[in-house]
Amino acid sequence: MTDPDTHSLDDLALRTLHGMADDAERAELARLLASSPESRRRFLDHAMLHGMLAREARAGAFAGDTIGFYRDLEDPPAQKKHRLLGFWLPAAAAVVAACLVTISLLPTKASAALDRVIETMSEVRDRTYRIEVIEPSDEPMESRPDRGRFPPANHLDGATLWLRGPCEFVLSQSLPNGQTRVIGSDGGESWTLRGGDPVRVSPDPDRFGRAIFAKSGEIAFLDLRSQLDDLKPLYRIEWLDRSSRETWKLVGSRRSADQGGAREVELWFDPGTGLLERMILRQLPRGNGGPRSIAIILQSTEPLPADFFRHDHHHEPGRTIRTEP
Amino acid sequence: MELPPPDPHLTFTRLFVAAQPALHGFLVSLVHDPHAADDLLQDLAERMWRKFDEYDERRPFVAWGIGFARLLAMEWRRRQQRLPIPLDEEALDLLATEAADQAIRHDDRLDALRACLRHLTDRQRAVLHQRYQEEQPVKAIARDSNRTQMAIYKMLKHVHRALLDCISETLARPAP
Repeated sequence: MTDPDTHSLDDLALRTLHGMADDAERAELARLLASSPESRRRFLDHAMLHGMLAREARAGAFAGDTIGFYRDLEDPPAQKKHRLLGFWLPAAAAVVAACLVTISLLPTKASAALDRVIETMSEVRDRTYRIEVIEPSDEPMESRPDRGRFPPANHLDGATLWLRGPCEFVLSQSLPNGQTRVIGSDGGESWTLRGGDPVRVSPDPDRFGRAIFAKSGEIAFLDLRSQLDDLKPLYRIEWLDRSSRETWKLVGSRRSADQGGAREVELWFDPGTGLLERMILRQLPRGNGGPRSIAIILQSTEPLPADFFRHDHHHEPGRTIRTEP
Repeated sequence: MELPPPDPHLTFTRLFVAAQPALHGFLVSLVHDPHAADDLLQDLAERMWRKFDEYDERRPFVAWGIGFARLLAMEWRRRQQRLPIPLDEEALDLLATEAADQAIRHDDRLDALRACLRHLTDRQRAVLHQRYQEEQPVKAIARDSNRTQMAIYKMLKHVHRALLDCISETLARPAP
């Protein structure tokens, strides 16, 4: 490898490793790595050094004030706490090997943390959330003939949402006339019931949830798993707070107004398990007839009855069933 | 009197802690992001622990761990929507094989690096501290220090090249 080649490879490698390379540079680097053993060796030198410097830095190798650095380890400032944690985890593991499982659950990067929350949301287990309207609609509710007298998105405050894995849900809402409306899906079919009216059942698992989370930009939370998946490409994810041992917070900011959805999404989760404890959707699109901002707050993870997500669990036997084609 | 068998938890932890820098280096070589490598390292510990009863202690622990790390890195890459370097499978295999060779000799390189770091100037240390310990992007370091991004990048590049040269020279020197 000639000296100019080395310079060029160094530039491509370092600009990529430091997050400065554009698509053309990354493609050029990929081409070189595929075709030249010398380029691969040189790139690996840089990549290994990059990793070693990251680890040495966490051990305080570059801290000007080493005493302050180690004092911070004992009483870390909010933003630094988990950066420093990476250095101490191996030492902790040496003392208590059993901690390895716990250690394995602590992500240090915002996108990795979001992956962890999504992974946990995909697990088939039961969760109960309460919905609170933080900021009501700033426009008067309009009755639209296609949405009935009490459109679902308008009466969310105090509603309860039960979820099992990514596909099953039940949402219970109190309506202004004193009745309770329950919408649900067992992943196979969806259903709705209100007061003593007949139960409506559809073979489409999303049919009745669409009134809440239609693609047109309604409030998307009955399918939290998909909602979280959408955050990855459509929102810029950053840490909001990692100062507590119990709850970490991420915030996602919408990349473009054209994509619809909330302008900002806040996620609170248990760093040990990835369990979503709170999701706050701020500045939902106007024109849905629903609130501008809502919070979905974890109430319980107690297991629910096996048939909880079927409609017959929620009404007396003998209720009239109307099945849609 | 017969000695009690060694506690597998402690044996594993001792081996893993010693192998951790090399395994981290191997992971960074394939995922190109030290933070992603940190996360994967935690998954790696869990996976290796589950299979620890199959570990043949005559084999180097790092070499055994690299097999798991390689799979984890490939799985991680498949999950990403945008990869730092868009390598095809064949190129990635070549890179992984060569990275495994380097990882085996990682400890010597790390010792050499630590010796070389003593030669850095205060200014170079400060930039490395901001970039690696505070995890600031180059742009933010430039803004905070009233310098251009290019100036900070050039300093990082200079430091990287100087450290690589120093490591090579140190490793080539016969042991005293």
